Amino acid sequence: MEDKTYVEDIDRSLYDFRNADEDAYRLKDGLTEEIVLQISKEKNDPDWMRDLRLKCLEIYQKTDMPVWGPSIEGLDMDHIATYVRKNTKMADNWDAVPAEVKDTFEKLGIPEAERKSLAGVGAQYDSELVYHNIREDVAKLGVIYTDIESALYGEYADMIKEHFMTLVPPTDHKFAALHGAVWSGGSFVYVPKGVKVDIPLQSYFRLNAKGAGQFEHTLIIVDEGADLHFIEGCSAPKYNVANLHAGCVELFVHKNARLRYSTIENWSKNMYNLNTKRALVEEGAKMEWVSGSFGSHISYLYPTTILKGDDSTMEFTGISFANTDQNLDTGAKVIQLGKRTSSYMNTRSISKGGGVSTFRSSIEIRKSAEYSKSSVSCASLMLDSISRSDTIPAMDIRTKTADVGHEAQIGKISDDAVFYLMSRGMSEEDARALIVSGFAEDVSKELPLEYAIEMNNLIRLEMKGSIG
Amino acid sequence: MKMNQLPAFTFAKLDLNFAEPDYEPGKTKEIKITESSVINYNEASDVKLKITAEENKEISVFVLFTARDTLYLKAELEAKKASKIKLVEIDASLNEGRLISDVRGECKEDAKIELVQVFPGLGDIYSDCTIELTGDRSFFESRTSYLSRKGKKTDLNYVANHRGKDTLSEIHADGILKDGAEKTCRQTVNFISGAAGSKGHETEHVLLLGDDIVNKSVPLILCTEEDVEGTHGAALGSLDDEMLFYLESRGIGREDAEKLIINATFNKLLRYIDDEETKEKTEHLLEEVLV
Repeated sequence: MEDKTYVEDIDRSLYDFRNADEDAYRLKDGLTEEIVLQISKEKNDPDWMRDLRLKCLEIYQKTDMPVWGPSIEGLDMDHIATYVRKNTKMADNWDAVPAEVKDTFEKLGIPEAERKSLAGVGAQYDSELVYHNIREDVAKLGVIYTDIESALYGEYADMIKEHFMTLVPPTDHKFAALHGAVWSGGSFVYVPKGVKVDIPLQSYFRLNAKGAGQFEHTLIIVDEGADLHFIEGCSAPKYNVANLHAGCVELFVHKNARLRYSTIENWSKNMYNLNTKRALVEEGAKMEWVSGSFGSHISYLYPTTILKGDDSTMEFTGISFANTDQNLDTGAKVIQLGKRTSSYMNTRSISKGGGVSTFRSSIEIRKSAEYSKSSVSCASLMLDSISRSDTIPAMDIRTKTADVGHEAQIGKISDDAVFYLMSRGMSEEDARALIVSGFAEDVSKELPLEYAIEMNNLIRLEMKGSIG
Repeated sequence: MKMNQLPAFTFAKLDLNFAEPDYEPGKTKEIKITESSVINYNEASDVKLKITAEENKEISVFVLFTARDTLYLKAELEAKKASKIKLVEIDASLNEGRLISDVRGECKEDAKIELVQVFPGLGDIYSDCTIELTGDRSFFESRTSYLSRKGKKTDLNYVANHRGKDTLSEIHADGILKDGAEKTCRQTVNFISGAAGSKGHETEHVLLLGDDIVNKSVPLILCTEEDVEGTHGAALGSLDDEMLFYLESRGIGREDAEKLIINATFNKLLRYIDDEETKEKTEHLLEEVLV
């Protein structure tokens, strides 16, 4: 085996900058009924929401930690502030956003992306949205894209009440309950029947505060025959204490509709990313997930799709890249209920520098899901022998008419391929980076161009200095 | 007792992380085996086989079980340098019988452990097997065929821990689920740091022939070594329409096609049974129970 050298730290200055935010309003650390009620008051919750928060807190306190997955012992809720608000109100033009915050999102390229290629943008800074806007022509189609807090009191209040935390009930797991108790921020999207939104909407979540949590809630309803691509981005500066992200995404995809949900997750490496995403898919509808996980110290992330309607389909394309001090436990779940449903998962995971990467999945094909299909393909790449890469897929099939295929492989970069590229004048570092980019291509080609470029840049950053 | 534990847990809600048959092993009768042997086992007491292959020696052990109630078999295998142990388990249990097989083994340098399991029986099956591939170039090969029937459980677990360099594991399970059958199959290839040059392959093929079936599969690949190659492949489904059409065009109906496939699933293991008397008994058993 060849010796390798490792660069201790990687330049993440694109994401790793922070603001002092001395004027921010911050609730004290910890999780108590008093804190939950204070959040509810700050957010001017309707009564049902306040009651839901309290119920969630009770469930959180009674629920055990998961017995599987990476250790989250380093996360101490007594040292997490669940609500931090910049001293500003949400704006619908960037000029009204405080300079420091605007500068943050400028550095992340959000306003520029909005001008070039997005139908609407929501930007959350710590616990609250600071910017939310939708293009006029898209709004004219009847598309609603707003913050959840506003939607709780507007025309869509009943719709929010009808759907909020019904797909991800607080009893689902401990951090779903935590989310229900302290959620703040996030977006509500409603796409009316038959409306096809040609260019994506994007929400970007930035957690700036040290030792804080972000608990945004994203609720999207794509009505019959409608079509939407929603992009979610997230990042944070690195601190020497734990930060927490326990967001929740609930997606309702109605008959013959299509929703694509793309995420490039690039939290800082002190982040505990305990996020929950779930989609309910009706007859003939299609759910597409594209997921890139690059950041976080610990990640538990398994977008779940419930294929309720006959002939509904789901595709999950994911990549994770675990480097030093990272344990990324990611994958997907699907529950197939309708007849002739189909699911396809295609994932890539890369481990390097002592990082741990786990692909974890579950496929449940219930008795009612006659003539349903499922196919899983997962590949893992180990870039050294101080890292770890695990594949933990599970299948539970309950109808004889199901057709299920599963393939997994794990291996290293071929020395022959590196040698070939070097013989063509490439440095070893570039050769290995190119091979890894090629390995990730199945995922990057699913992303809009600018995000594919971002993903390739991230891979290059992570690969930098990985040889010797 | 708790058995068939996954080396790395999956989601707890799937209830797959281990099995808990309501049985506690009693005092086991220990049988030491150092030569090739045939054991017909139908006694009520639990049994422990201690099988040792000395350096450069090959031994085959054939165990034919007929469980009337619960039979618990513990097998401890030690394959010394350049040796080979073949353990063949054949289950001919009766309807209310239950076989619990717990195999642990260690493979030294250039040694091989081969496990062949023929499970066409009428009762429940719990089978747990963990092999430590400690020696360089050691090899574990496991081939299992099972038929799971109405109200019966088949619960399997295979783990290959690759520790030595250039080790190899081949873990393969083929089975058929009939009406109301419940089956769980766990397979793990675990590449531990230092096992450079190792390879591990898992496959599972399940033919789903009945209604109300429960088929659970968890194929794990765990890896802390860069220079390895691990693969898994699974195919679960009913008879392929094209194959049925082909067979029907040659006068073979669905029912006969199913019988053909079931027989083929088991018959391919017969070539591993190189003791004539056991082979004959197994053929007779298959004719009797695969109707």
